[in-house]
Amino acid sequence: MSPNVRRFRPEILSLLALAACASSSATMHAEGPLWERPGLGGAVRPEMGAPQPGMMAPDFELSGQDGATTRLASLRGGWVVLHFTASWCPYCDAEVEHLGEMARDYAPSGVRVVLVDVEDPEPVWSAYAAAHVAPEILALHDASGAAAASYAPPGAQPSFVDRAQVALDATLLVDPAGAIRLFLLPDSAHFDPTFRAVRAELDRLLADAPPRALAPEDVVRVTLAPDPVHGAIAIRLHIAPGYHIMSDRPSAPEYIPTRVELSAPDLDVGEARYPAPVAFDVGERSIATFQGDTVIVVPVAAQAGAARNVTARIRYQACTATRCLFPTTRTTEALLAFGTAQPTVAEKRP
Amino acid sequence: MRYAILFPLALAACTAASPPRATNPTAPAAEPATASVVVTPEMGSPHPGDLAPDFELRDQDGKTVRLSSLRGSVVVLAFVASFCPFSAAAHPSLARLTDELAPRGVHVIAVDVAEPEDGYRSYIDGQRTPFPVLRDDDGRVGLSFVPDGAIPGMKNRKLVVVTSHLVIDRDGRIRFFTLLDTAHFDAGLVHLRDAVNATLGS
Repeated sequence: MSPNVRRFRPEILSLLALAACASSSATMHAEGPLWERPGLGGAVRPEMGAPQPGMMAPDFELSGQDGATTRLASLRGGWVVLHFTASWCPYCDAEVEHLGEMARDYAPSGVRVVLVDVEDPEPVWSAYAAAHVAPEILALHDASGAAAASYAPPGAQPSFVDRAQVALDATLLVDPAGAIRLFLLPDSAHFDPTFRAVRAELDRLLADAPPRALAPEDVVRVTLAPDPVHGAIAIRLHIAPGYHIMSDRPSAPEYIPTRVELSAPDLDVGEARYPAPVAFDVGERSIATFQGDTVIVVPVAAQAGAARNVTARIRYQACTATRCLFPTTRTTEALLAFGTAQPTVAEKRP
Repeated sequence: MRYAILFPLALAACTAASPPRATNPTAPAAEPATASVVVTPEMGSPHPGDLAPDFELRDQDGKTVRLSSLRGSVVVLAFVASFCPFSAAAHPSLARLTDELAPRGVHVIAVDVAEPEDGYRSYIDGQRTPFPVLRDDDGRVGLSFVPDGAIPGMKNRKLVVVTSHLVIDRDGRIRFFTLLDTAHFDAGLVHLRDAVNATLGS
């Protein structure tokens, strides 16, 4: 067993698994989950952990061929195709010319194609980029692999000691607000160097743009579900792409912390367990937020019996990179049954 | 190993708590933990059932190994490259498999494909390597194992076999042949081990 596998803790994996079910509704289409659709077999799965679609793309600052540095966040305002490569990677090598075609084809739509080289020595990368990378591509060099490693969900390729290599050959679509909308790891079994599936997703997403203004109640959708194994209720916040809410321990006193309160007749309710925060960069500062699908677990002393009406009050403030909505308190009720093999959920919208 | 138990439990919780899927009720609840790209006759040759292409290459001690000279023994053949992170990740499993299978008369052989000398050296020196690592410096042997229809999008055909695994039976016939499956990577070589046991048992 590699040291990386040993680092996993059971609680984390269990929480990841919970996150998995939290996100399943977001990633399920009529045709089934994203990774069962043609060309998308490499889609990052919720149980792999962050970063995930719906979360902000981890920011990085890397130098390009001309020596100038570029921050990913500086490209906000337009769509970005982000691809990780290395000179020796035979998959990447077959793709690089098609990546150039994509950069040319989508330039009129304001899409930037960003290619990040992972851990090649500088002279090797410079020579490779000069020979193979189209000038329309923004080619950046991640000599240390730190940027690539920030795109390695912990549950993806757990046997890899060098986490930067996990992101190698990955392709992401990042929306104008800086949120990940598609995240594909390599899928050698269905290898398509021409990016057909990525182009189809990009076409679909561009057709949806500009993003319609969301009603406040759609910025954060709330669902409740029993978690009989852990004797808990999972409060799932589905946070819309491009938005974040402050974590339960915000980075500044003036920020509104996310708080949940659960009440249910004849249930002993424990203290809410909040997930680890996700960093969000505001200018030079990094703040503690929740993004994407977020699961807050509230332990309850649950015994088998009739369904109970459970009420959750959730207070939060949702923001994008540029503006915040008013702080709000939401109330969600659900009829939850415990102690059966197949808990029934009959949710009532408030 | 506690997490190995807890994780499926948590997943079971997930399955139980999820609303029933209105569409596609026949879809499997979860994919197997490991899957592989199995070489099929449709991909071309060689494929399981074919005689393995013969070759003669030198190992790290300068000793010449000829595949056909190992007839009478079951052979595990692993194509590797130092640059491939999947090769590196599977290496400890290959070493363990060698320890387990050597007393049963199985030869485990790695073929390092199309690498310059320093890459080959780094593969041998990087980790415990209780099996011969044959140097296929120009990738010709690797290429002889690439079915035309395998990973058709890959331009550099000799690298298609990197991190492929084969089991060759006592008659020199391929009994198991998988290509790298990055989306369902079997770092523990579970399928390979099962295939060796099946071949030994037959």
